[in-house]
Amino acid sequence: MVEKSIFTKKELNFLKELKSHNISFMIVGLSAAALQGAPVVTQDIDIWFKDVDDPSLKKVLRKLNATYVPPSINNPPLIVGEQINLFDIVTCVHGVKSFEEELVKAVDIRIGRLKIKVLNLESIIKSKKYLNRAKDKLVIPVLEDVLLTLQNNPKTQS
Amino acid sequence: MKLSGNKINRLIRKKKVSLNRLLQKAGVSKTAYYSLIHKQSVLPKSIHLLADALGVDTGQMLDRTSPEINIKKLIWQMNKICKQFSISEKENVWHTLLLLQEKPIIRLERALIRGRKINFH
Repeated sequence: MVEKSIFTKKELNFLKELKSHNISFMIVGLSAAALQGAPVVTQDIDIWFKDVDDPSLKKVLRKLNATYVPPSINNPPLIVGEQINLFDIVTCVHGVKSFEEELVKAVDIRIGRLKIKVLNLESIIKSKKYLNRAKDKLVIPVLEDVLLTLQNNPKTQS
Repeated sequence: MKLSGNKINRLIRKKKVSLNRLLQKAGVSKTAYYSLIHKQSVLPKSIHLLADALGVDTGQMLDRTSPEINIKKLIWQMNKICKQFSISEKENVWHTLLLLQEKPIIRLERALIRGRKINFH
């Protein structure tokens, strides 16, 4: 059965615009794990921005007819727009070091012609352990097995 | 790349078949077979031209792995990792090794398609 593509040129274009405007970001969460080879499922792509108040980010969102909705009592931080509805904004990743410290250890993953920073799997696992929700407890053993596989696979050994 | 008549003879002896039987089974005529054996190269001329332009041997441009060899390699890797480490589920290692054969974008697509179907996370 041919599955309809979810990650299309629109999504790629958003990442391209972020990069071309030198906005500092990385993909986190289970989408980051999936990019690194984890057999997990996720509903969206979590993006951790260094600074959500970066004027360049606002410029990109405007260009794509999207907008940033700050967190409030009723909602977490959101980025809203037709071209970016696969993406979720993350202002803080619990259980890991600062954005700058994690960026240094982040993995470079090629998406199309772009090289995107992705939170490394060890940090993803730390974050899931910190959150310790029911769904995190289910996925942690999977991620730990994946980490061991990556560390002992000639293709991905550092 | 030349077809080796000697290697084929060794193989048919090993498999205990005759050359005639082999050619019949393969649907290859004797004329075609001997023509191939005597050719300087069984590769199209254009492949040699590409290799010359790159300054490499034609062998460097060929993909020698078959799907069966790849699967065997992956199984071996999976068993090695599971033997060496305390793995919670062998399947996790297997699926990871399979996903590592795919481009990252395909891995992400799969995760998203399945995630949105089952509305799990």
